[in-house]
Amino acid sequence: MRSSIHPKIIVCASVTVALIMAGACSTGPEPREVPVPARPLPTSTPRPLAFPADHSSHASETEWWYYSGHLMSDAGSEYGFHLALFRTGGDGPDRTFERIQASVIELGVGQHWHWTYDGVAGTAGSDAPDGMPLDVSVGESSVRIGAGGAHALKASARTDGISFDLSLAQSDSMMLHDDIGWLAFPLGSSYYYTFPRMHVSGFVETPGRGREKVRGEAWYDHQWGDFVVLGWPSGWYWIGLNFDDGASLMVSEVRDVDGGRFRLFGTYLDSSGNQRELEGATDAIEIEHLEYWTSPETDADYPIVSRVKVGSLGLDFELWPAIKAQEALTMVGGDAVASYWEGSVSAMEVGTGREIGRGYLELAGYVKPEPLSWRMGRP
Amino acid sequence: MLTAPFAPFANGRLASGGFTNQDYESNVARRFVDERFDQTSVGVILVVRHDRLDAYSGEFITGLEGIVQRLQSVDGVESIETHLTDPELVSPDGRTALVSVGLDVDIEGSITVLMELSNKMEPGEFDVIMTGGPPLYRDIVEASGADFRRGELVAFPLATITLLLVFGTLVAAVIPVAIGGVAVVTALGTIFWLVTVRDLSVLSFNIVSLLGIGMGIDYSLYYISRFREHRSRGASLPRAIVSTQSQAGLAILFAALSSAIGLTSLLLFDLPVLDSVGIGAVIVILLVLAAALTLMPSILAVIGPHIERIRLVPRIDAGWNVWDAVATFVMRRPVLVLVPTVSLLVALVIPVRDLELGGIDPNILPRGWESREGAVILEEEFGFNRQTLLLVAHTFEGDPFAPEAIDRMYAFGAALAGVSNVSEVSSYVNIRSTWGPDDYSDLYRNPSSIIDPRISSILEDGLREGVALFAVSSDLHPSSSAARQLVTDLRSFKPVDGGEVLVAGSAADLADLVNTLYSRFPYVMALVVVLIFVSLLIQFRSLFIPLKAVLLNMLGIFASYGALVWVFQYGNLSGVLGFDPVGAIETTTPIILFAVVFGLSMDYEIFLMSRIREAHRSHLGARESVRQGLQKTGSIITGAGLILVVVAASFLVADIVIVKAVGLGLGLAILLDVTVVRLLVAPALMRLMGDWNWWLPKWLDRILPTF
Repeated sequence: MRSSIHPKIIVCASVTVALIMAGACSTGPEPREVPVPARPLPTSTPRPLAFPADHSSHASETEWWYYSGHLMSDAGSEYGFHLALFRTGGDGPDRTFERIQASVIELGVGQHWHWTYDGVAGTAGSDAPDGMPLDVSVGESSVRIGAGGAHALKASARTDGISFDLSLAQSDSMMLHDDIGWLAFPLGSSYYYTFPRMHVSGFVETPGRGREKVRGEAWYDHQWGDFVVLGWPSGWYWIGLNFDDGASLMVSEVRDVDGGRFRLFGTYLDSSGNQRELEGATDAIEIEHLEYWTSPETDADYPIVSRVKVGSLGLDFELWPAIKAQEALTMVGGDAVASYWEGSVSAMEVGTGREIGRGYLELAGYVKPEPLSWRMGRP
Repeated sequence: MLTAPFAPFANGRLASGGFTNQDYESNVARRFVDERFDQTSVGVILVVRHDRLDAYSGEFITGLEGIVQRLQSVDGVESIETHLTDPELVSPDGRTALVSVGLDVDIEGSITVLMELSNKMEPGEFDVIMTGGPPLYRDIVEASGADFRRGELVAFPLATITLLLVFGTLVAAVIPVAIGGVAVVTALGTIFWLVTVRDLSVLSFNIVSLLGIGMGIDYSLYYISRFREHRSRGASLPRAIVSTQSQAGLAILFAALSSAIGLTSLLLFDLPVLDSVGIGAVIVILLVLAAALTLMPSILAVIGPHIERIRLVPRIDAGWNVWDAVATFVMRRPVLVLVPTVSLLVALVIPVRDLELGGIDPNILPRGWESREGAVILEEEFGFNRQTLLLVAHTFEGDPFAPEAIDRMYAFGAALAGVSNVSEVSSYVNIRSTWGPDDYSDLYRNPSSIIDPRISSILEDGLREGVALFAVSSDLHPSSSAARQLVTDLRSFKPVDGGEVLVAGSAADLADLVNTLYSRFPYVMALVVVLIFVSLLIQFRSLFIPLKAVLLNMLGIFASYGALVWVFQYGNLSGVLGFDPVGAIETTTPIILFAVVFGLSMDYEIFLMSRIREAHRSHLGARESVRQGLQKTGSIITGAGLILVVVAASFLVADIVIVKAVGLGLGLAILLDVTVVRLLVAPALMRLMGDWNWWLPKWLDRILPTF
């Protein structure tokens, strides 16, 4: 039996196998260069606002609804309350409501409660039942805006016995800030309107006074856009005041990325409902901080007492908080860097010392953040 | 045989994975991302519902927080996220919440952690379903065990009956069981020891059992039929054994060689699961061959005289042979036979043009398995598996917030966003569609001031010293070929300013698997075809016969692929076979089928052609040689084939779709081969070719070795 294999066969077989395996190991195409990017799409031109549709949520990156006000019970007890609903990111039906923050203060007694609910579920616009512009809730807390413009706020702290259940009716007075309700921020821009004198009725419950029927007045802000909220040294000093003479004032000092002043501006609505835009330099707006309060929670130094002048309006008053400790402790991923001070203040006329109005003061961007290296997971 | 005592313990030492290669770019990328971003790829998703509570109701939240607290105490749990910290973990209707549990164990170790999670959870009134990688892995392991046992229950009695029908007597029927059994037991014992050197998949156990029994039957049937022939012609026992060994032994040697070539090709794919199948198969083939050529003559020497005892199937001796009739008809009307049979095979091949390759996901299990039930909810209520999410890591040097670094990364992010089918890119330079590099430079002028939760999480989850992550979303299904193209497109960019680009994600896993396997598959096919062609050329000393053999084999295999697509991809017969169509064929299935079927089919070809050649060499005419070969091997080929078809068909009762697909593909390929191809098409073609069947150039005849 002859069993040796002819050398030609070995050569042929080897060449065939080599060719086949060479084909199997061939490499892919050469990588391509990253092209020069096109210019980003310009920000769309602002459009006129329409109601009640614009009470709803929008396809924007950042949005919030803000209510604060003062209430009095039939028995004469006085309260301040605050509720903010936050939403970020997402377009269309997947837009996410993120958080409700609320607080109640017993004026006179000086008791203040603040609480937060995350992961708010809700619907807005065409998704909401019966054409409601807004219907969101978490647990026992909710924000609902009806098609007719009525607002219903419910907020209940995790601790028993602290809650409010309020109905807000829209008044005629309205502010469209910067004339059309659209303004620029250090990073991005925002729609912004205010109903400064909503009529409020409902109930407030506190441990000391139980559940009381109340009525009063509330400031309602709604803001949305592609702007980015930055923390210290950026941030803002903001006041929303209703004067006893029927006028309303919003003043805001916005700080840029480096902490310098980006813009000082305001909106004034006189008692007849006439709106006037205020600009820091031309209207001689001055803010002088007189007293600071240091938060034991965040170590932030908040300028809680200030003297505010609006030269063009002849306004000169000092803002005094109902109590110092009105910080809205805001935890994001275990970090309190987004906390702010949101509290009831009185406007005391300089010279006479009499109270000429009340409102809320918001101090954002005062908590000094951890170094970024820590937040990026580096040791 | 020294290894045989260890056979019962082999299965316990085999691993269940191996469907990826750790050197694939997607795996390198996944490890890189896990390591640099402190992530874990092994995670369980709990789907949590309550029949009356909304996910944001106080009672639900309190109950969920209790569950989370208990789960946190389980060893191996690294992180837990709920809808209270990530709003995307709740369904749009607020009725279903997800809890994402990250584990710091590998997939093999996750089964113990899963048991602990179940024990500690105490869900109370909550309905909790576990899904994700570890539960799927656990369910597949359980389902494969159940499938194997159920398959045995079906296959064993059917195969025994078929075996008795084919061999006729109990004594003869015992021989293939002995040959196959010895080979299987010895092979499993060998595998037991081999596992101490390298990991092998549980599939090697399955392939050893399948091929050991299958080839044991094939070779025994062929060998015994020759032995019976010699004995019936009056040969003495020793003479009959010697003649059988010299004639059938050579055919069996070449048949085993062909099968080994087909199955060794699996080692060329560099994929652990295919390596395991290839190694297990080659071991068992060599052992079956050894048993057939050594143990078989010994057995026949002892029980040969009694081989016709205990006849269970009466001998039909009516002077008429069905294979003779078939052969006579095929010889008379070759064209009439060829037209419908080839048309049938070609028609079966047509669906192959739509072949979509898919990965292993919960849809391979039927409804009722926990991981599948959870996956259905994730898909229906959260859109999971409808979207492709890929992580692109770009390394760089220096400060990521420097304006020039932002310029470059912005350009890279914009390039990714411009790729076809990309719906969104998220990174530290892809935050606002209206922003350019200058805006990002402003944003990061003082990065510590960033408190926006989304931007903070992008920085915390997507930026580390020297590396930025770009999360790329697409509405493509992650198993689709378009998603695989997307992976290729994303990888096609040259890194900006040096650095390296790595792409991770389930679509990248599948892309790497498919691209690696199927870039090699045509070449491996070609190699197998060439080697088997040469082997047949040497054995039969003909150009046409090897050519016809490999072409018909390919036609049969592609016909079985077509049937797989028609059934499992299109979803035909899904009700009868009891599965939910997944729209794709699992990636390794066609390759395993090719390797197994090519070898097995070649056995039948060699048995048939050996007899035809014998007849031809005894100077019978071309037509008479074919007729006689067919008449003498028809019952052997169909008998052996039918037993394998029965075993393969038992896979159809499996729960796992992939096992059903392998069963159908294998069974159909063999059925087509032993009926249409070997008994009709091949003889008809040989009849038409006449004397050209045995044509061989003289120069080639001179250089070919002779056995």
